[in-house]
Amino acid sequence: MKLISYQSQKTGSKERQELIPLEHLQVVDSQETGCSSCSSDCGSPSISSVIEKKSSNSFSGELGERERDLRRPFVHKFKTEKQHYVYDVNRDRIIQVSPVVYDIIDDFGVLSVEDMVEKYSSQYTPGQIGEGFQMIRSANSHEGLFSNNHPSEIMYPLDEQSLRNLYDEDVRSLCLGVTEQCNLRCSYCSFSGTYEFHRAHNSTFMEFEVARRGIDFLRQHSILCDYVSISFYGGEPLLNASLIKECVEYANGIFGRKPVEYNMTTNATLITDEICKMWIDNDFHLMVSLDGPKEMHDRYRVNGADRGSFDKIAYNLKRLHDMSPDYYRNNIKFSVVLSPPYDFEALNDFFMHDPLADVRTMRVSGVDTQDTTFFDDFTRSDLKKKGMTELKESFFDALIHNEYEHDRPDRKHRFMQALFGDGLEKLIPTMVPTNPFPEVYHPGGICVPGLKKLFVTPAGDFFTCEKSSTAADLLRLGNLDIGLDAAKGMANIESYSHAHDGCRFCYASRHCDTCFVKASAGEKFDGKLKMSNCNKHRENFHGNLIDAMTVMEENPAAFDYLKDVEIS
Amino acid sequence: MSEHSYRSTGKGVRVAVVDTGVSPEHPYVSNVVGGVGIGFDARGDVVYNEDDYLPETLWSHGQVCAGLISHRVPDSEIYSVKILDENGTGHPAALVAAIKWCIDNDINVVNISLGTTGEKWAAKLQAECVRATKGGMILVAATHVGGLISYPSVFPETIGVGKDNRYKGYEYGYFPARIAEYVAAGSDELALEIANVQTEPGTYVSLASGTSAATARISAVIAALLEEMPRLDLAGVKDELIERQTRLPLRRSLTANLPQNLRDDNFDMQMPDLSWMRRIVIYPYDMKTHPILAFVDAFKFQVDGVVDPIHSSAHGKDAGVVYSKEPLNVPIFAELNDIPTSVDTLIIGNTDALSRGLHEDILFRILTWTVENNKNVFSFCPVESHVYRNLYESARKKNLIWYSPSNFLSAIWNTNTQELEQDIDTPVIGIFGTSYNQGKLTTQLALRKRLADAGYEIGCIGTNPIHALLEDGNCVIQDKRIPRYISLGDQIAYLRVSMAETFRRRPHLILASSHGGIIPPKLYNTNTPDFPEDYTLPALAFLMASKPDAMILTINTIDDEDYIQRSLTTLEAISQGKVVALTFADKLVHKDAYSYKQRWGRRLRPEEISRLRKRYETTFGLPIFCPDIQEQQIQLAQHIIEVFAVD
Repeated sequence: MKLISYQSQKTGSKERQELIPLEHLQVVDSQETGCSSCSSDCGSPSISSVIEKKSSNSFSGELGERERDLRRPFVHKFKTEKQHYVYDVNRDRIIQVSPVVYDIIDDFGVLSVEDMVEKYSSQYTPGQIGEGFQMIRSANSHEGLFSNNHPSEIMYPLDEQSLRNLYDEDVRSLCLGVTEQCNLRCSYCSFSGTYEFHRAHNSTFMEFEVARRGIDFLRQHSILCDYVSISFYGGEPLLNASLIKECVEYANGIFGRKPVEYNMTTNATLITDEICKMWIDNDFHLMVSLDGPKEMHDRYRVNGADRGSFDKIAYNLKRLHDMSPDYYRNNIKFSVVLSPPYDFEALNDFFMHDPLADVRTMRVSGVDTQDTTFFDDFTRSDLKKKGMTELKESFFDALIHNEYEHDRPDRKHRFMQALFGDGLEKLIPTMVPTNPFPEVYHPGGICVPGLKKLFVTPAGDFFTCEKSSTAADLLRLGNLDIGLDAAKGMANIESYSHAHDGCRFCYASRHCDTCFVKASAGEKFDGKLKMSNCNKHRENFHGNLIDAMTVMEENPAAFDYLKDVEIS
Repeated sequence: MSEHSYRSTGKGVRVAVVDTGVSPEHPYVSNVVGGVGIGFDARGDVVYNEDDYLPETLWSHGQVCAGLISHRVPDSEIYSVKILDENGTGHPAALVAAIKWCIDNDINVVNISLGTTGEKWAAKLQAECVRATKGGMILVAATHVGGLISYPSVFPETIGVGKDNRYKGYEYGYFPARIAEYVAAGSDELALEIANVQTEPGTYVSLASGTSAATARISAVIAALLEEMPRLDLAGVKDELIERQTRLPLRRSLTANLPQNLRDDNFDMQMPDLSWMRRIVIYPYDMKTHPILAFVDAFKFQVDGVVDPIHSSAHGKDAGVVYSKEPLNVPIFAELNDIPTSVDTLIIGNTDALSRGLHEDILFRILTWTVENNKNVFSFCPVESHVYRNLYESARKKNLIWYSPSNFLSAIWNTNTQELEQDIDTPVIGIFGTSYNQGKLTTQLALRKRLADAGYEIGCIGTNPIHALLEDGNCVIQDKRIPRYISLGDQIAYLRVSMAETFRRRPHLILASSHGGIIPPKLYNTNTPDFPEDYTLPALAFLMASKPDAMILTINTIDDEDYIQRSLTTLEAISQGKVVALTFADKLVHKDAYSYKQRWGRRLRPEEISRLRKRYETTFGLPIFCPDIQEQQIQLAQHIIEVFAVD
C-alpha cells in the first residue's frame, strides 16, 4: 500500500501538524478463539443466532464490495451508544477511535488527504481530517494497526499424509451411536422426521461386537493421547443400557492406566439405580436435556402418546441427586433448547430456584433452523424473545459491578452466563499480541474431521461427528473394516474450503466458528448454506463486539476474570 | 644465526622481554645486552637486582619469546626483565615495577607475553602503561587465550595480541573491536619448546598456549618498524601495523587448497568409536529420528528398517515412499518383533510421548527386548544404568553396548582441556531457529552434505543426539533429564570445550546447530509448561559459546515477520556475527508451533515455496532456502561458499 505523506498535501499548512500521542488510541486486545475444537456444541446453532441483537437491526452479516477492496485497512467498524471502535483484523485488537478516524478509515490507502478533505468537507475541517489521517498512519507504522494485509489464499493446513498421521495417532474421542431409537418424540428433534437430510428414529441397535471394534480402533489410534473419551449417543442411549455397561467394562479393561472419560447424552427418562451407580463409579459426564419448567419442557419433550416427560425426569434426577449430590452438581450439564413461544424470565427463574436445576453448567441452544418445517406453525408474536433484553441487561449489570464469578457462578447467573456469556468470553480482552495474517491462511472454524468426536453408527460406519447426517454418504469417513479414510476427509475439507474465497476478506475469520457439518445438505456442501452460516457468524461477532465494549465502557476490568482462562 | 631477507634487523631498537628471564647463552638469542631481576624484600618492597636477569633454565618461557624476537630482529638490543620464577609465576607489583624500569632505561618496545586476570592491580598497572606510552614506549601484551579480560592487554595503551595459526612466521592480522586486535602465529616449529608453566590463582598466568609466541612475533615486527621509523608513537605504530598487515583471504581455510600442515594429526581423536553399529533399526520412527533416514549417507551403518508403532497406515510400506516420496528400501515395522535378526543395534528415539500416551515405561519395554534379543542400544533418551540396573547387568553380561546422552557428556568431561587449542580459527556457522522441530538439523545436515560434495571437510556440533552418530559430529547434550546435567551457569564453558573438541580435526568449517530454544523474544514462555522457563537459555548459551562468524536462521513459515526480524537482530547483537541466510521446511508447521505438540501439516506447494522465498528475500534482504529440496541444498552450500570466498 502506498501511503501518501501528509506533509506533501497541498491544502494543509506547510507546518507539520502535531502528532497525536498514540496513547489517545485506547487499545483493547481480544483473543483468538483458536481452532474451535468441536465441542459438544458443534453443529448446533449458537444461541446468538436466535436472539435479537440490540444494534443489529440494520446490520446484515454479508460482505460488501467495500470490504473486498484490498487497498483499505482490513478492519471492521462498530459503534456502541457512547463510543466509536475499529476492530483490527490483522492484529485481532479493538481500538477506540474518534468519530473522524471512524469515518475516514475506510478511505485510508484509497483517497489522498486532499480527496478526503473534499469528501468530508461538510462534516470535518481540513485540520480534523489531517489529524485523523496522521493518527491512522502513525498507528499503522508504529503498531502495525490498520494494515491492509489480507491472506492471499485460503488453504487448510493439513494434507492427506498429515491427516493420515493424525488419524493414526490422535483420535481422542469416540462417539458410539448405540441406538437410533428413542422413547420420546420431541417435536423439534433432528431425527423427528421434520428435517430433510436427517434419518428418522428407527429400531436399529448397536451390537457389542461393533462397539468393541470401535473401542479397539480408538485404542490403536490414540497412542499419543494422554486420555481418551468415549461417548454414548442415540436416539436415547439408555435404550441400549446393557451394551453401554459392557462397553465400559471392556474399555476399562483394555485401556489399563490410560484414563477414559465417559460421556452420555440422555433424556434421563430411563434411569435405574444400577445405571446411576455405573455413572458415579465411572465418573460419567452427562448431558441431560431439560428445557425449563414443567410447562415449557413438556411442550415439545413428549413421548409417542404426546405425554410430557418432565415428571419422570424430575423423579429420576432426584434419585441420582440423593445417591451423590456432589456428582449431581458437578457431572451433569443441562442442555436447554430454547423453543417458541419464548419466555426468558420464566426460564431464568426456573434455573435460579428449582432444586432440580442446581448444576454447575448448562448449555443453551436454539432449535436447529436449518431445513426444517418446525417453525412454520408459529406466529410472529410466538417468535418474539420475551424477556431476553431485560435478562441481558441484568447480566451486563453483574459484569459491570463485578458481581459475576466466573469460576463458581452464583445460581442466579448460571443461565444468563450460558445464554450470553459464551460469545463475550470468546472476545477475551487479554494482552496476547496476534500476528498479522500469513499469506496462506485458514480460519480456525472447521475441525479436523473425525478427530474430535469420531461417530460410529450401529452398522460400524465412521462419520465426522455425531451431528453428521448418517442418511447421506457425504460425511462418511470409512468404517471399522477400512479404518478412517484420510482421502475422504481431505476431499471434504477441500470441497468445503474451496466453496469460495470470501474468508480472505472476512473480518470475523479470526473468531470463526462455522462448521462444515452445518453446511452439508444431503450429498453435498451447500454454498448458500455456508454463506448464510457465515453471515450469521459475522452478525453474532458484530453483536458480541458491541456487547463487550458496552460492558467495558462501564467497567474496563469487567472481563479481567477471563485473563487466565484458556480457550481450547 | 638464521637466514632471512628482512631489510630492517632492529638495529638500535631496545626491546625488553618482561618474563622469566633471558639468557645470552641461548643459541637463538645472542643480542641480550642487559636486564634486571625484580623481586621483593622482606617488607614487600620492590627490589631491583641488575645482576639477576638470567632464567633458571635455558628453555624458559622468556627465552622462547626472546628467541622469536631475536630471530626476526637480530640486531636489536634485548633486555631481560625477569619478574617470573621458573614456574612462570610472579606478582603483579613486579610488572608495574618492570614497566617503570623500562621507562627509566629508555626501552622502545616492551614484550609482555603475560598478563593477569585479577583486577586489584589493574589501575596501578594502567597508570604505569599510560606513563610509558606518553614517553613513546610501545607495550605489546598477550591476550588471554581463553578470551577472558586480561591486563595489561586490554588497555588501550598496549597492543593486545592473540593467536591465529593461519598466519605464518611473522605475518599478522588486524581485527578491530576484538579483545585481540592483532593476531599472529602461535606455536610453530621455532617456538616448539615453550615451557608448560603451571598457574595458581591470583598469580600471573603465563600464556603458553600460543598468544605468548604471537606477542613476541608482533614485538619483533614493531622493533623492525621502529628501526625504519624511530619516531613512531603508539598511534603511529598501530596505523603502520594495520597498513602492513597480511591480508589473508577472508577465510583462507575455506578455499579448496587448505594447507594440509594446518592439520594436527597428533591428537588422539577421542571421537566415540561407533564401529559396533553396523546394521541398525530405528524405534520409534518420527520427526526426531527422520533425519537419519533423510541423510542416511552421512552414517556408516546400514538402516535395515524403522519401527513406527503409531502410524498403522504406514506399516509394511517403504519409509522413503511414505515420508519423502522416494524409495529408500527401508521397511516400516509395526513392532519390535518384526525386526530382523541380522540387526545388531537399535537406535531409540524419544519415547516420552509414547510412554505418556500408553501410560507405560516404553523405554523399559524396548530395553528389555534389546537385552533378550542381543541388540546394542544407541538412545536419544537418557538410559541410566542405575535406573535400569538389572537390565543393565544382563546387557553387560552379554557384552551389549548401551550408548546414551550420559556417554556423550562424559566424552567431554573426560577431555583434557589443557590439550585443547581453544582459539578456533575455522569459520563457524551457527544454525539457530525461531522454534523447535522446524528443520535446523535438516539445514545442518543438508549443508554438511553439499559442502562435503564440494570438497570441504566439515565439523558438526549440535545438541541433537544425531550429532553423536556423525563421524565428524559432536553432540553437546542439553538434556535436563540426565543426572549429570551441566547447570546453565557452566554451559558456556562446557560448550566451548565441545567447540574446541570439534575443532581438533581442523575442519574447513564448523556447522553448529543450536538446541530448539527460542532466541530471543519469548525468553520466558510460560504457555508451555512442558518446557521450563529457562528453555531459551540453553540456546543463548549455545550462541555465546559457539561464537559464530555467520548464522543461518531457520524459520517457520507461520512466524510473524516482526518476530523473525527480532530474532535476526538479537542473534546478530549477541554474537556480533552476521545472519547470512534463512531456511524453512517444505512442510507447514501447525499453528500451535510453540505449545507442546508441534506437528507437521501439509507439504508446501512448489509455487508457494517460490512465492515465500521471494517474499522473505524482499522483507529481510536475505536469501532463503528450503533444505528439503535438493536443488536448494546445493544453492545454500554455494551461497555459504560465496559468503566466505576470497574477493
